[in-house]
Amino acid sequence: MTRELNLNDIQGNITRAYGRYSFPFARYYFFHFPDAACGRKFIDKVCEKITTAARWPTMQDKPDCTTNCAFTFPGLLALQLSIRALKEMPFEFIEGMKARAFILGDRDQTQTEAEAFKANWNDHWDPIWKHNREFGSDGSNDVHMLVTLNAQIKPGTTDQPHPALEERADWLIKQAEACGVRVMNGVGPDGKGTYQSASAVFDKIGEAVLPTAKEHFGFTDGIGDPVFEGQFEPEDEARNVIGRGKLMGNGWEPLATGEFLLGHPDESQELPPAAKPPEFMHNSSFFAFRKLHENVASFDEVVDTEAEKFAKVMNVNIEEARETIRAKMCGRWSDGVPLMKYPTYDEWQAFRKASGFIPDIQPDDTPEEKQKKALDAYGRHIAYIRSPEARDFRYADDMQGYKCPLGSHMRRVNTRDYLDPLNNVGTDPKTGKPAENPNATSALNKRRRILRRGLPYGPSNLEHKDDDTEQGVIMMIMGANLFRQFEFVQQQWIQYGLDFHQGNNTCPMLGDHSHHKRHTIESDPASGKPPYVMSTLKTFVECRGGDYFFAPSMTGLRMLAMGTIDPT
Amino acid sequence: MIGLGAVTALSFVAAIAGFALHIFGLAQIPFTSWPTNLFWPCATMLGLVLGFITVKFINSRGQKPFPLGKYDDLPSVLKAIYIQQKMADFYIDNQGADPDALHAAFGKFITEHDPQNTHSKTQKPGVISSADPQNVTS
Repeated sequence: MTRELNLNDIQGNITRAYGRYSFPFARYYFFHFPDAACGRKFIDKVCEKITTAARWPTMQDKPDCTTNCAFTFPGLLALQLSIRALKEMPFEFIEGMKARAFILGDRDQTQTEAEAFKANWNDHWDPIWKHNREFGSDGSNDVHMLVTLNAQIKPGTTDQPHPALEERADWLIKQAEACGVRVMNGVGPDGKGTYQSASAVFDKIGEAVLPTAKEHFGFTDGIGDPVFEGQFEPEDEARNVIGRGKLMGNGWEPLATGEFLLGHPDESQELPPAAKPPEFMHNSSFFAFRKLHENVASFDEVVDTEAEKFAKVMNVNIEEARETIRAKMCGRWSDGVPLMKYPTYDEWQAFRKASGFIPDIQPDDTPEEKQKKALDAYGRHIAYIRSPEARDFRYADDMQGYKCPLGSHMRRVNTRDYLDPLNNVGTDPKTGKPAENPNATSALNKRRRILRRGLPYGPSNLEHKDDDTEQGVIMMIMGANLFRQFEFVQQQWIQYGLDFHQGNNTCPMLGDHSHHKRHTIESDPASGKPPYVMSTLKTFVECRGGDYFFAPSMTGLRMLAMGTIDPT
Repeated sequence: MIGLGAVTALSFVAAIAGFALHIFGLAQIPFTSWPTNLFWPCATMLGLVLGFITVKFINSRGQKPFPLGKYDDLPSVLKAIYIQQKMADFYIDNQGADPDALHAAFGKFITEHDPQNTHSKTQKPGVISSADPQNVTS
């Protein structure tokens, strides 16, 4: 039975990844409350503009610019919430992301705390995050509130934000000034920014510059985000749940609402831990805001070096080696086609051709024809990555990792049905082939799912990028329980590999490779080719700051603004 | 061990019985010429001595390690961990090598790491990796 949610009470960024709803631009503003009264006044003003999860039946209902907000624990403390309510907040939220750096692998795990502090372990973080919750400080540099703005494309253009973004930003700053709330600066490596901007990675499609669904390494991102009960209308849910829900023996089903929204039953039929009063936390969620820098030059250099060796070992050409290495690190080919469906380069190329992802441009085509073909191919690709075909696959039929390596990024962050304890890892005696495990379920995975919100930040693909240029992904990782969901995935599955028989090897893309630099690409013995072990990985993705935030419901925001949170 | 325990228990039972007879005024244990005033302290002392011996005996048996499985001794385990790491390095270093080069490299590997010798070129106890040469015995 599908749960009916009060969507007007839920913030819109919980149910929608705005980037997928044609909002390719974003700005993230950070605020500090000098005292509780001005903080409440400001929240009251921001409440007027909050975008809820209410449906958009027509295009006219869709705003040009969305607004959402969230609070850190010091923010709630500054708003003078009752200690009785504050003490019941989850401990990881109280501690904050910086204090959890050791667990998350953001800090070198071979160093003691004293060694790490002596080495200024977070010296590379943006100043705003370096000084946020600084040990021994008076708290005047603490981030209290985050406001996120997402905007559509300006009509008549393909790569400019809608003017509503600038207007909303101006309005927000004016309100903050009027209420006496400090707009924090310190964003960016030089600390001069007053907001964190983000946008889809733009690229040239024919002659037009258009937003892509890629991040800066060139992989198609954001395809398999979880779906939970009540998120979509029943008729949309049936399609959206494929490859994004859980497998419990009856095909794809939505995850329990309580995995992502407080006050609703979760996958263990319990209400997630939350502070009192219940109406303050109901329909709210938590998220980790993480600025993840991408070392593009290091990534390309390592892929090139490994591809040369891979080409020699596997006896393939360098282009095939390069694309295969990239896919075997990620779990999808660079255009988002899953390895589990098209495991070899030749199969992938044939599928791309058949699907029309490559524009069939002829030498005698006119410029208009060329452009039309390029746009058609672009449209077909976007339609594909939004379709169930790009998500409808399992891992339990590839327990050995012959199609998709066991340690690849995708198998780590969403294990699907791979971890079902009843899976047969060996060969099916009837067929002599690897076991198919047709009845495998999402056991041990359905309690570790995360909603990914946010957008890439940095230049378009038309500009130069290297390790020192400013690019990456602003990740907002949402869940009802950061400890059980985000922190577990980050610590156990990204920064460690035992659940995937990978020992200490970390995620080939997101992991810290300062000590463990290997990634194994399994090979089907029937192919006659040996496994290949990448051994020169560098740390490609580094955290540059962030914190844990609480995203209240509209009711919760109203209570915050009125200062009426009474836990008794 | 059960016999020792039973004799100990019997000694205490006899001591209690002797003490009871002594309390009720019997000068001798019935059917014997043993005086009750000496019998019950002697039986108590015997029980204590036997009890001490029983406890020591159980402890000594409890502290005895289980018999080792084949290769379960620490030097063999450390050597296995060492070889596992070096073999992984060897695999990576020789990916794509032609058969002759691979054969020669493997011969060098066997000579250098000597898998049969559990005491030389092995990981030192108490460390988690052989990557650092300081963690390896020469």
